[in-house]
Amino acid sequence: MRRIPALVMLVVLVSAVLAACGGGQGGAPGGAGTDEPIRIGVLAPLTGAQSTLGQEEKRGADLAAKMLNEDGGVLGRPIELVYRDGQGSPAEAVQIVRDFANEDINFTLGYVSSAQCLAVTPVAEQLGVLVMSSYCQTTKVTGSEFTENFFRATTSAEMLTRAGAQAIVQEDGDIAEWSSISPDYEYGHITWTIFKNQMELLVDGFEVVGEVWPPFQAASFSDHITKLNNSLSGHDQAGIFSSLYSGDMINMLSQAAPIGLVEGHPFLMLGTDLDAIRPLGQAGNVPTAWISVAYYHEAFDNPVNTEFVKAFQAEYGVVPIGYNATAFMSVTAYAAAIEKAGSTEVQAVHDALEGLTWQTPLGETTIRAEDHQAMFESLAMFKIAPADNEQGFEVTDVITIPGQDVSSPPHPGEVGEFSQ
Amino acid sequence: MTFDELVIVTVNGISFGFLLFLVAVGLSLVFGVMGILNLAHGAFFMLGAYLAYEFGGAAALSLPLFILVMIGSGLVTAAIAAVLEAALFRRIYYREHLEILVFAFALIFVAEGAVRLQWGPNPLIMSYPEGFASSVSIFGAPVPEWSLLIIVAGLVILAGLAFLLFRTRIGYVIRAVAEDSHMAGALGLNVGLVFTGVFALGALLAAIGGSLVAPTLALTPQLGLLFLVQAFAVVVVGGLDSIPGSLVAAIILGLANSFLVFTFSGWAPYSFYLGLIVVLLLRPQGILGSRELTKQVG
Amino acid sequence: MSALTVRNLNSYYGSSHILWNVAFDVEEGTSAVLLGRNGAGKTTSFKSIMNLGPSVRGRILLRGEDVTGVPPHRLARRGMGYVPEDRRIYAGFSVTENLRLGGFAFSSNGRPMEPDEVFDLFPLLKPLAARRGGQLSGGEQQLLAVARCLVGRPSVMLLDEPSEGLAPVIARNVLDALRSLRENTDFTLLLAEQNVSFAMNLATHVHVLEQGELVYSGTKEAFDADPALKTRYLSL
Ligand SMILES: Nc1ncnc2c1ncn2[C@@H]1O[C@H](COP(=O)(O)OP(=O)(O)OP(=O)(O)O)[C@@H](O)[C@H]1O
Ligand SMILES: [Mg+2]
Repeated sequence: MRRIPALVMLVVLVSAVLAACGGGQGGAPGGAGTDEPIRIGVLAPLTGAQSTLGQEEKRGADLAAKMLNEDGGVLGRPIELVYRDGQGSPAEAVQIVRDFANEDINFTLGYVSSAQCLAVTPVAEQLGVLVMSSYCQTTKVTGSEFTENFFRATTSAEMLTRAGAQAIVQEDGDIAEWSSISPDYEYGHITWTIFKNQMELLVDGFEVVGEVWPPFQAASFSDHITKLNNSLSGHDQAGIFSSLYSGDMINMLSQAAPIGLVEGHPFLMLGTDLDAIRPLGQAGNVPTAWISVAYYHEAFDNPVNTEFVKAFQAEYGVVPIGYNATAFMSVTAYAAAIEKAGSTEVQAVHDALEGLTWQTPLGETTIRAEDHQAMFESLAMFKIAPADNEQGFEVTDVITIPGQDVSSPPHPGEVGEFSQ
Repeated sequence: MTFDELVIVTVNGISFGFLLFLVAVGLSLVFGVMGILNLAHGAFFMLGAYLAYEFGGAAALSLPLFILVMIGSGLVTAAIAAVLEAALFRRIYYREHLEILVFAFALIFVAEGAVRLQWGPNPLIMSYPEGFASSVSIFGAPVPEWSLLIIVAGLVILAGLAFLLFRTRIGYVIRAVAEDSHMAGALGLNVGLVFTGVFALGALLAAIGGSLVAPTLALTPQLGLLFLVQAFAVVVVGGLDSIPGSLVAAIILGLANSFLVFTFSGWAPYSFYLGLIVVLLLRPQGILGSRELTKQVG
Repeated sequence: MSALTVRNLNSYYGSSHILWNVAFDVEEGTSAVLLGRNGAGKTTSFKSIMNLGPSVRGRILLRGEDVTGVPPHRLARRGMGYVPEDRRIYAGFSVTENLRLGGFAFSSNGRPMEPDEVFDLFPLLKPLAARRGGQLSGGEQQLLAVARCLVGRPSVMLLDEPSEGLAPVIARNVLDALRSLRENTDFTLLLAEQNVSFAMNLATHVHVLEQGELVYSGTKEAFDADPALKTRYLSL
């Protein structure tokens, strides 16, 4: 009995422990009485590697519920958010959606990874549960693997990538040579493909001079960094695209700083928000870069954003970032659809979401009936640079890109042209 | 592969290897003396990094100050480890490997919780010490100064351990306990004290590793798991009870990883698992080891 | 005075009950031998006394002081020397280093023996001083194990089957060394053996164990006077 295949043990343990983290606080099954709260299930990575993101999501969603409830709720009923901690594994997400269904929670939002979104949507359809992604960006869920019960109240990978490409060309000039350091999985590959397709259209002589694919959550990026650095030699003006995010982006930039990988190169970071930039600023490793997360609190001049930023600051003492805004929007989308439907009946809310127009911090937003993707008036792109201030960086440029310029026509059931 | 690339791959691989050695050496020491595979090592690694941040802060320190911070972090971590050993670990030494493994593994998650409560979930970063934030050119290839410092640190630690183990009375006692702890007890050596000390020394080494990587990695409460599989692979491939074996394995695995990134990059993330499979099949005691995981001491 | 007193000793390996109410005394300065067939419980008795594994009920006194449950290293420092049947020489250490390890068992009165003093008692070891423990023959290892124990100047030495696994001529050498040791040094000996003739060369008192129970205690003379004992408990 002493013979332990220890690595197997380790792997089994890791998965067991990670799966076990899925459990969370439950909620009693609710009846349909008129002042019963309307319960919305939120699956977010509240602990674990992506907990920064999950905690930001929670702040945004909590604030939305609080503001709605202070305003008398929805159909006169309060909104109640029921959280489940999910670390990103598809199997876990499926289980949590089943739990939601068992508890009669039919409206859900959150979801971290593209793999999770792809795994839950068919199940959600069987169970009659609506899934609103506030984070996963894959274009497949609104495209080739479209299902009726999936909605996205936030931007897609295509929108973010194309908007980022357009912003950097518009502001920094026609950069023809490009390279990429992006994570070696679905999201990393699809964003780079979209980026290349967009760049082909934007600049003459677009050319790829190098690409490296570090694995997700690598401990050392140094080989990928030097490999990319090598391919950039002789291409001093070449741009760098990266859809690494969160801890991976921080680690890559910390390790790249000594050899000055991104120095002097136009640099586009996709999906990395200020939560990751702030600690880099503390250590003096913030690069000059464009950031594409669609939201910047000063970029939008509309009453909803003004109120959102004010309330967020009052509640949490800091300005909101993109993750806060997307979770906020997902909750208010449900609220608007339920008001529109006049009921919490799933089919009615589903129908109301199709074509729903509501006001968000990004302005007037509409969920397309065909593919359930939200369409925005405009997306905010901003540029950061190292600075001699307390934060170690400053935002040097904020622009908006029109929403119509960054999205293809709906293509449910098919792969979009930009993703090929 | 060009000559330039060959140079940089070699330097990168060696420096990554030394980093892994720093992370793994404590694991190997503890196994060598006590015969337990202490996966809680990951927790001490994380704690070391966080304590370095606690003592040193985010801003750049001078190198001597950084070293002081690192030693401080190492000593505090060692003290915590000593208490844990005396209070918890010594109750389970004579259990099955599996139980010890699960126990230590659970401790990593408890540590994750403790770190989250103390420092919050958001990533923290330390700066490279002053004068170590850039790179030097080796045969025309840029190599971060910090990578070179990690190689130096690895050599210093190796020399320090060799001195301690083979040139001092403490080392003589540790080696005796490592070879036969029962007889050592019957000869009047305080085995319990040696175990506590070695456990704490292992934690100190982990914390030094953690402090040294702190400028290159976001500190998050998951840091304890980040290097665990690699460190585990290093000690198994090198031979669980062999410190020189750990160094050899760390450098081989580090080089293999670097070469794969430049050649068959899709395979690079699996290099450690491949190494484990090859070694467990062909040489279960590891490159320089004498003891298999299956054979428990005590 | 009794150097070692064992009272009501019951020992267990897990759930198997090995020793049953074993009790005996070893008077100071004498050489007692614990005789018994394979598996009779001799080694278990020693390990129980040294607190090296089996769980134990009963009482053990060292020169009148209760030492039941005292950890092995403290026992060693209080004068209880132990030479295990498998000798447990440190294979990676030189003979001199092995000897110095024995010094840890030493507590306060005077100083532990120096290797040179040991070499005077065991001249056979002297030329081997720099040799690694793992390179010694079985007989040499046995001598070294005894010598290492002596370094700590024990008041009682538990010596487990020194003749085991040795060719007769080698066993003879070991015996000679032990005999001269008894003449030149001053400690109480408790020897475990199943080789009766070997044991009788050293013994002043005899205790016989049979399946975990003490079935006979007496002087060497009394034991010798009753040849039936040997056939009953010990012959093969
Ligand atoms: N670690 C152990 N676990 C369980 N049983 C054991 C253990 N060690 C010894 N025994 C059992 O205890 C009994 C006494 O064994 P012990 O080794 O004390 O005998 P012994 O008299 O020293 O024999 P030998 O002359 O062969 O050395 C035997 O039946 C043996 O099988
Ligand atoms: Mg025996």
